[in-house]
Amino acid sequence: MTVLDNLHTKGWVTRQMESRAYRYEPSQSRDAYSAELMREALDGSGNRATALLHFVDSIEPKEAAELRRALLDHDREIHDV
Amino acid sequence: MMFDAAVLLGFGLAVAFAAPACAGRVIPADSPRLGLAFWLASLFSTAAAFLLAMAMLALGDFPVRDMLVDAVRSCLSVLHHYISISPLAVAAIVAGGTCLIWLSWIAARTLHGQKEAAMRHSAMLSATGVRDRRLGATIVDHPTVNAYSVPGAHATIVITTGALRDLRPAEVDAVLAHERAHLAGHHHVIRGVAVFFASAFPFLPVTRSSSRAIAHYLERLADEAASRATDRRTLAGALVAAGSSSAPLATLGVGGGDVLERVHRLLAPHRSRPWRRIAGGLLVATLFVVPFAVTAAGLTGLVWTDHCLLTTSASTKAG
Repeated sequence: MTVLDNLHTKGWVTRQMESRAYRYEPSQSRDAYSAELMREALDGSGNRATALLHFVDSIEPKEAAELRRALLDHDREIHDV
Repeated sequence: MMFDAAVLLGFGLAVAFAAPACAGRVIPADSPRLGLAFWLASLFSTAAAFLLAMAMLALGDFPVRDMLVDAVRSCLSVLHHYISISPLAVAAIVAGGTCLIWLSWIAARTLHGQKEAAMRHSAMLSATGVRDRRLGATIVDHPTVNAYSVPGAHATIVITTGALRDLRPAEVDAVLAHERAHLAGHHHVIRGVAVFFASAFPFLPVTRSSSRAIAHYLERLADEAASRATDRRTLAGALVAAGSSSAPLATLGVGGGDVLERVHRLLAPHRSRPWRRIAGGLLVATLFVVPFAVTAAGLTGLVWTDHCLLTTSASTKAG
Protein backbone atom coordinates (compact mmCIF):
# COMPACT_ATOMS: atom_id res chain seq x y z
CA MET A 1 0.00 0.00 0.00
CA THR A 2 1.64 3.19 -1.11
CA VAL A 3 1.74 6.37 0.94
CA LEU A 4 -0.87 7.96 -1.37
CA ASP A 5 -3.21 4.99 -0.85
CA ASN A 6 -2.73 5.50 2.85
CA LEU A 7 -3.52 9.23 2.62
CA HIS A 8 -6.56 8.43 0.49
CA THR A 9 -7.85 6.02 3.11
CA LYS A 10 -7.51 8.72 5.74
CA GLY A 11 -9.35 11.21 3.54
CA TRP A 12 -6.49 13.60 2.84
CA VAL A 13 -6.50 13.11 -0.92
CA THR A 14 -9.14 12.34 -3.53
CA ARG A 15 -8.46 10.32 -6.63
CA GLN A 16 -9.82 9.70 -10.08
CA MET A 17 -9.05 6.97 -12.52
CA GLU A 18 -7.28 8.34 -15.58
CA SER A 19 -6.30 5.85 -18.24
CA ARG A 20 -5.27 2.96 -16.01
CA ALA A 21 -3.69 5.16 -13.32
CA TYR A 22 -5.00 7.22 -10.46
CA ARG A 23 -4.73 10.97 -10.37
CA TYR A 24 -4.52 12.23 -6.78
CA GLU A 25 -5.61 15.63 -5.58
CA PRO A 26 -5.60 17.23 -2.15
CA SER A 27 -9.01 17.17 -0.51
CA GLN A 28 -8.38 19.83 2.11
CA SER A 29 -6.99 23.33 2.24
CA ARG A 30 -3.31 24.03 2.79
CA ASP A 31 -4.11 25.31 6.27
CA ALA A 32 -5.77 22.03 7.14
CA TYR A 33 -2.66 20.15 6.05
CA SER A 34 -0.42 22.45 8.09
CA ALA A 35 -2.63 22.03 11.14
CA GLU A 36 -2.60 18.25 10.75
CA LEU A 37 1.19 18.20 10.33
CA MET A 38 1.69 20.16 13.56
CA ARG A 39 -0.86 18.03 15.38
CA GLU A 40 0.91 14.86 14.30
CA ALA A 41 4.35 16.15 15.19
CA LEU A 42 3.33 17.27 18.67
CA ASP A 43 0.77 14.62 19.47
CA GLY A 44 1.30 11.72 17.11
CA SER A 45 -2.38 11.65 16.11
CA GLY A 46 -3.43 10.44 19.54
CA ASN A 47 -0.75 7.77 19.54
CA ARG A 48 2.15 9.18 21.49
CA ALA A 49 4.46 6.63 19.95
CA THR A 50 4.40 8.31 16.55
CA ALA A 51 4.95 11.85 17.82
CA LEU A 52 8.15 13.48 16.65
CA LEU A 53 10.79 15.17 18.75
CA HIS A 54 9.83 18.83 18.75
CA PHE A 55 11.28 21.96 20.23
CA VAL A 56 8.83 22.73 22.99
CA ASP A 57 5.30 22.17 24.25
CA SER A 58 3.08 25.03 25.21
CA ILE A 59 3.30 26.14 28.82
CA GLU A 60 0.84 27.71 31.25
CA PRO A 61 0.72 31.52 31.28
CA LYS A 62 1.85 31.34 34.91
CA GLU A 63 4.95 29.39 33.97
CA ALA A 64 5.62 31.69 31.02
CA ALA A 65 5.53 34.70 33.36
CA GLU A 66 7.91 32.97 35.76
CA LEU A 67 10.33 32.19 32.94
CA ARG A 68 10.25 35.73 31.59
CA ARG A 69 11.07 36.92 35.10
CA ALA A 70 13.97 34.45 35.25
CA LEU A 71 15.30 35.82 31.96
CA LEU A 72 15.02 39.41 33.23
CA ASP A 73 16.83 38.55 36.46
CA HIS A 74 19.54 36.78 34.51
CA ASP A 75 20.03 39.74 32.16
CA ARG A 76 20.15 42.16 35.09
CA GLU A 77 22.83 40.06 36.83
CA ILE A 78 24.96 39.92 33.72
CA HIS A 79 24.55 43.65 33.23
CA ASP A 80 25.57 44.44 36.82
CA VAL A 81 28.69 42.25 36.58
CA MET B 1 18.35 -22.21 41.09
CA MET B 2 15.09 -21.19 42.73
CA PHE B 3 16.85 -18.90 45.15
CA ASP B 4 18.67 -17.20 42.30
CA ALA B 5 15.42 -16.84 40.38
CA ALA B 6 13.80 -15.29 43.43
CA VAL B 7 16.69 -12.87 43.81
CA LEU B 8 16.41 -11.92 40.14
CA LEU B 9 12.67 -11.40 40.32
CA GLY B 10 13.05 -9.39 43.50
CA PHE B 11 15.71 -7.26 41.89
CA GLY B 12 13.61 -6.75 38.78
CA LEU B 13 10.58 -5.67 40.79
CA ALA B 14 12.71 -3.44 42.98
CA VAL B 15 14.08 -1.63 39.95
CA ALA B 16 10.66 -1.44 38.27
CA PHE B 17 9.12 0.27 41.27
CA ALA B 18 12.04 2.01 42.93
CA ALA B 19 13.74 3.54 39.89
CA PRO B 20 11.12 6.29 39.39
CA ALA B 21 11.19 7.06 43.09
CA CYS B 22 14.99 7.29 43.36
CA ALA B 23 15.69 8.94 40.04
CA GLY B 24 15.48 12.46 41.38
CA ARG B 25 18.05 11.83 44.08
CA VAL B 26 20.41 9.67 42.10
CA ILE B 27 20.77 11.59 38.84
CA PRO B 28 22.90 14.74 39.08
CA ALA B 29 20.87 17.59 37.64
CA ASP B 30 23.54 18.72 35.19
CA SER B 31 24.09 15.34 33.61
CA PRO B 32 21.47 14.46 30.97
CA ARG B 33 23.64 11.68 29.61
CA LEU B 34 23.73 10.04 33.02
CA GLY B 35 19.98 10.54 33.26
CA LEU B 36 19.46 8.77 29.95
CA ALA B 37 21.85 5.99 30.93
CA PHE B 38 20.07 5.49 34.24
CA TRP B 39 16.62 5.12 32.68
CA LEU B 40 17.80 2.89 29.85
CA ALA B 41 19.69 0.76 32.38
CA SER B 42 16.56 0.51 34.54
CA LEU B 43 14.44 -0.63 31.60
CA PHE B 44 17.04 -3.11 30.43
CA SER B 45 17.67 -4.40 33.95
CA THR B 46 13.99 -5.03 34.65
CA ALA B 47 13.45 -6.96 31.43
CA ALA B 48 16.71 -8.90 31.75
CA ALA B 49 16.02 -9.78 35.39
CA PHE B 50 12.61 -11.23 34.56
CA LEU B 51 13.74 -13.19 31.50
CA LEU B 52 16.81 -14.54 33.27
CA ALA B 53 14.72 -15.51 36.31
CA MET B 54 12.51 -17.53 33.98
CA ALA B 55 15.57 -19.09 32.42
CA MET B 56 16.86 -20.05 35.84
CA LEU B 57 13.54 -21.62 36.83
CA ALA B 58 13.38 -23.42 33.50
CA LEU B 59 16.77 -24.95 34.12
CA GLY B 60 15.54 -26.07 37.53
CA ASP B 61 17.44 -29.07 38.77
CA PHE B 62 19.26 -29.41 35.52
CA PRO B 63 22.77 -30.25 36.65
CA VAL B 64 24.55 -27.34 35.02
CA ARG B 65 27.23 -27.36 37.69
CA ASP B 66 27.80 -31.06 37.28
CA MET B 67 27.81 -30.59 33.54
CA LEU B 68 30.49 -27.93 33.70
CA VAL B 69 32.70 -29.96 36.03
CA ASP B 70 32.41 -33.05 33.85
CA ALA B 71 32.92 -31.01 30.70
CA VAL B 72 36.19 -29.84 32.14
CA ARG B 73 37.22 -33.49 32.80
CA SER B 74 35.48 -35.21 29.93
CA CYS B 75 32.61 -34.07 27.66
CA LEU B 76 30.88 -37.38 27.27
CA SER B 77 29.76 -38.03 30.87
CA VAL B 78 27.64 -34.80 30.85
CA LEU B 79 24.97 -36.44 28.72
CA HIS B 80 24.25 -39.13 31.33
CA HIS B 81 23.09 -36.58 33.86
CA TYR B 82 20.12 -35.40 31.85
CA ILE B 83 16.97 -35.39 33.96
CA SER B 84 13.33 -34.91 33.17
CA ILE B 85 11.90 -31.38 33.24
CA SER B 86 9.74 -30.45 36.27
CA PRO B 87 6.32 -28.71 36.03
CA LEU B 88 7.86 -25.53 37.40
CA ALA B 89 10.41 -25.56 34.61
CA VAL B 90 7.66 -25.97 32.03
CA ALA B 91 5.75 -23.06 33.50
CA ALA B 92 8.88 -20.95 33.44
CA ILE B 93 9.53 -21.82 29.79
CA VAL B 94 5.98 -20.86 28.92
CA ALA B 95 6.18 -17.59 30.84
CA GLY B 96 9.58 -16.65 29.45
CA GLY B 97 8.60 -17.67 25.94
CA THR B 98 5.36 -15.69 26.11
CA CYS B 99 7.28 -12.65 27.27
CA LEU B 100 9.73 -12.94 24.37
CA ILE B 101 6.90 -13.35 21.87
CA TRP B 102 5.10 -10.35 23.38
CA LEU B 103 8.25 -8.24 23.17
CA SER B 104 8.81 -9.24 19.54
CA TRP B 105 5.22 -8.40 18.65
CA ILE B 106 5.42 -4.99 20.33
CA ALA B 107 8.79 -4.28 18.70
CA ALA B 108 7.43 -5.10 15.24
CA ARG B 109 4.28 -3.06 15.81
CA THR B 110 6.19 -0.06 17.17
CA LEU B 111 8.72 -0.04 14.33
CA HIS B 112 6.06 -0.46 11.64
CA GLY B 113 3.83 2.17 13.18
CA GLN B 114 6.60 4.72 13.42
CA LYS B 115 7.84 4.06 9.90
CA GLU B 116 4.37 4.33 8.40
CA ALA B 117 3.61 7.53 10.31
CA ALA B 118 6.92 9.08 9.28
CA MET B 119 6.34 8.30 5.60
CA ARG B 120 2.80 9.69 5.62
CA HIS B 121 4.03 12.75 7.45
CA SER B 122 6.87 13.27 4.96
CA ALA B 123 4.47 12.99 2.03
CA MET B 124 2.16 15.63 3.47
CA LEU B 125 5.17 17.76 4.33
CA SER B 126 6.56 17.71 0.81
CA ALA B 127 3.16 18.79 -0.50
CA THR B 128 2.48 21.49 2.10
CA GLY B 129 5.84 22.78 3.28
CA VAL B 130 8.33 25.03 1.54
CA ARG B 131 11.96 24.01 1.53
CA ASP B 132 14.34 26.83 2.41
CA ARG B 133 17.88 26.08 1.31
CA ARG B 134 19.47 28.89 3.31
CA LEU B 135 17.96 27.69 6.58
CA GLY B 136 18.35 24.07 5.64
CA ALA B 137 14.79 23.42 6.79
CA THR B 138 11.21 23.09 5.56
CA ILE B 139 8.83 25.88 6.48
CA VAL B 140 5.24 25.07 7.43
CA ASP B 141 2.64 27.82 7.55
CA HIS B 142 1.41 27.80 11.15
CA PRO B 143 0.89 30.59 13.69
CA THR B 144 2.57 28.81 16.61
CA VAL B 145 6.28 29.09 17.34
CA ASN B 146 7.71 25.62 17.04
CA ALA B 147 10.00 23.28 15.17
CA TYR B 148 10.48 19.54 14.90
CA SER B 149 12.64 16.97 13.18
CA VAL B 150 11.59 14.07 10.98
CA PRO B 151 14.09 11.21 11.04
CA GLY B 152 14.71 8.65 8.35
CA ALA B 153 16.31 8.45 4.94
CA HIS B 154 14.99 11.88 3.99
CA ALA B 155 15.53 13.48 7.38
CA THR B 156 14.08 16.98 7.57
CA ILE B 157 13.87 19.82 10.03
CA VAL B 158 10.55 21.65 10.06
CA ILE B 159 10.00 25.15 11.41
CA THR B 160 6.80 27.17 11.52
CA THR B 161 6.17 30.57 9.91
CA GLY B 162 5.19 31.70 13.41
CA ALA B 163 8.71 30.92 14.62
CA LEU B 164 10.33 32.84 11.78
CA ARG B 165 8.07 35.79 12.47
CA ASP B 166 8.32 35.93 16.27
CA LEU B 167 11.89 34.84 16.96
CA ARG B 168 15.06 36.82 16.46
CA PRO B 169 17.50 35.47 13.81
CA ALA B 170 19.89 34.23 16.50
CA GLU B 171 17.00 32.46 18.22
CA VAL B 172 15.97 30.81 14.94
CA ASP B 173 19.55 29.56 14.58
CA ALA B 174 19.40 28.17 18.09
CA VAL B 175 16.13 26.33 17.40
CA LEU B 176 17.47 24.82 14.17
CA ALA B 177 20.69 23.80 15.90
CA HIS B 178 18.61 22.09 18.59
CA GLU B 179 16.66 20.08 16.01
CA ARG B 180 19.84 19.22 14.09
CA ALA B 181 21.27 17.84 17.31
CA HIS B 182 18.28 15.49 17.62
CA LEU B 183 18.97 14.12 14.15
CA ALA B 184 22.73 13.91 14.58
CA GLY B 185 22.38 12.12 17.91
CA HIS B 186 19.81 9.60 16.61
CA HIS B 187 17.55 10.63 19.46
CA HIS B 188 14.48 9.24 17.72
CA VAL B 189 15.93 5.76 18.06
CA ILE B 190 16.47 6.21 21.80
CA ARG B 191 12.95 7.53 22.14
CA GLY B 192 11.72 4.54 20.13
CA VAL B 193 13.31 2.23 22.71
CA ALA B 194 11.52 4.03 25.53
CA VAL B 195 8.21 3.92 23.67
CA PHE B 196 8.75 0.22 22.98
CA PHE B 197 9.14 -0.61 26.68
CA ALA B 198 6.19 1.62 27.59
CA SER B 199 4.02 -0.28 25.10
CA ALA B 200 5.29 -3.67 26.23
CA PHE B 201 4.99 -3.20 30.01
CA PRO B 202 2.59 -0.31 30.61
CA PHE B 203 1.75 -1.60 34.10
CA LEU B 204 5.27 -1.10 35.49
CA PRO B 205 6.07 2.34 36.96
CA VAL B 206 9.58 2.29 35.48
CA THR B 207 8.31 2.26 31.88
CA ARG B 208 5.86 5.14 32.26
CA SER B 209 8.34 7.28 34.17
CA SER B 210 11.18 6.48 31.80
CA SER B 211 9.21 7.65 28.75
CA ARG B 212 8.76 11.08 30.26
CA ALA B 213 12.25 11.27 31.71
CA ILE B 214 14.00 10.05 28.54
CA ALA B 215 12.11 12.59 26.45
CA HIS B 216 13.24 15.30 28.87
CA TYR B 217 16.90 14.25 28.85
CA LEU B 218 16.92 14.05 25.05
CA GLU B 219 15.73 17.64 24.95
CA ARG B 220 18.44 18.60 27.45
CA LEU B 221 21.11 16.99 25.27
CA ALA B 222 19.86 18.85 22.21
CA ASP B 223 19.80 22.06 24.26
CA GLU B 224 23.45 21.55 25.18
CA ALA B 225 24.41 20.98 21.56
CA ALA B 226 22.48 24.10 20.48
CA SER B 227 24.16 26.10 23.27
CA ARG B 228 27.53 25.24 21.81
CA ALA B 229 26.39 26.45 18.38
CA THR B 230 24.89 29.73 19.59
CA ASP B 231 24.71 30.60 23.30
CA ARG B 232 22.66 29.62 26.33
CA ARG B 233 20.84 32.90 26.80
CA THR B 234 19.66 32.97 23.17
CA LEU B 235 18.34 29.43 23.38
CA ALA B 236 16.63 30.18 26.70
CA GLY B 237 14.97 33.18 25.09
CA ALA B 238 13.80 31.05 22.18
CA LEU B 239 12.37 28.45 24.58
CA VAL B 240 10.39 31.03 26.53
CA ALA B 241 9.13 32.73 23.37
CA ALA B 242 8.10 29.43 21.83
CA GLY B 243 6.51 28.03 24.97
CA SER B 244 4.46 31.08 25.75
CA SER B 245 3.22 31.72 22.22
CA SER B 246 1.96 28.26 21.32
CA ALA B 247 -1.73 27.69 21.78
CA PRO B 248 -2.21 24.47 23.72
CA LEU B 249 -2.14 21.86 20.97
CA ALA B 250 -1.09 19.09 23.32
CA THR B 251 -1.64 19.45 27.03
CA LEU B 252 0.86 16.99 28.50
CA GLY B 253 3.75 16.99 26.09
CA VAL B 254 5.71 14.11 24.74
CA GLY B 255 8.82 15.93 23.62
CA GLY B 256 8.71 19.36 25.23
CA GLY B 257 9.78 17.91 28.52
CA ASP B 258 9.48 20.42 31.32
CA VAL B 259 10.38 23.78 29.82
CA LEU B 260 11.01 25.34 33.25
CA GLU B 261 13.74 22.87 34.08
CA ARG B 262 15.35 23.34 30.66
CA VAL B 263 15.42 27.13 30.93
CA HIS B 264 16.79 27.04 34.48
CA ARG B 265 19.52 24.65 33.40
CA LEU B 266 20.46 26.96 30.55
CA LEU B 267 20.51 30.14 32.63
CA ALA B 268 22.25 28.71 35.69
CA PRO B 269 24.35 25.72 34.76
CA HIS B 270 25.76 24.36 37.98
CA ARG B 271 28.33 21.63 38.06
CA SER B 272 27.63 18.79 40.48
CA ARG B 273 30.58 17.28 42.32
CA PRO B 274 32.55 14.61 40.47
CA TRP B 275 31.78 11.94 43.05
CA ARG B 276 28.09 12.20 42.24
CA ARG B 277 28.74 11.48 38.59
CA ILE B 278 31.03 8.59 39.46
CA ALA B 279 28.48 7.16 41.88
CA GLY B 280 25.77 7.56 39.26
CA GLY B 281 27.92 5.82 36.67
CA LEU B 282 28.59 2.93 39.03
CA LEU B 283 24.88 2.58 39.71
CA VAL B 284 24.15 2.47 35.98
CA ALA B 285 26.84 -0.18 35.47
CA THR B 286 25.38 -2.16 38.37
CA LEU B 287 21.91 -2.08 36.82
CA PHE B 288 23.27 -3.56 33.62
CA VAL B 289 25.51 -6.14 35.27
CA VAL B 290 23.47 -7.53 38.18
CA PRO B 291 20.99 -9.70 36.23
CA PHE B 292 23.81 -11.44 34.41
CA ALA B 293 26.07 -11.65 37.45
CA VAL B 294 23.38 -13.31 39.55
CA THR B 295 22.59 -15.72 36.71
CA ALA B 296 26.24 -16.57 36.21
CA ALA B 297 26.70 -17.08 39.94
CA GLY B 298 23.64 -19.32 40.05
CA LEU B 299 24.70 -21.40 37.09
CA THR B 300 28.33 -21.90 38.02
CA GLY B 301 27.87 -21.51 41.78
CA LEU B 302 29.90 -24.04 43.72
CA VAL B 303 32.06 -25.30 40.87
CA TRP B 304 35.33 -24.33 42.43
CA THR B 305 34.53 -25.16 46.03
CA ASP B 306 32.80 -28.08 47.71
CA HIS B 307 34.07 -30.59 45.22
CA CYS B 308 32.90 -33.51 47.38
CA LEU B 309 29.25 -32.44 47.29
CA LEU B 310 29.34 -32.34 43.53
CA THR B 311 30.93 -35.76 43.27
CA THR B 312 28.26 -37.15 45.59
CA SER B 313 25.34 -35.67 43.66
CA ALA B 314 26.94 -36.72 40.39
CA SER B 315 27.25 -40.32 41.51
CA THR B 316 23.66 -40.24 42.86
CA LYS B 317 22.29 -39.13 39.52
CA ALA B 318 24.37 -41.64 37.65
CA GLY B 319 23.08 -44.36 39.98
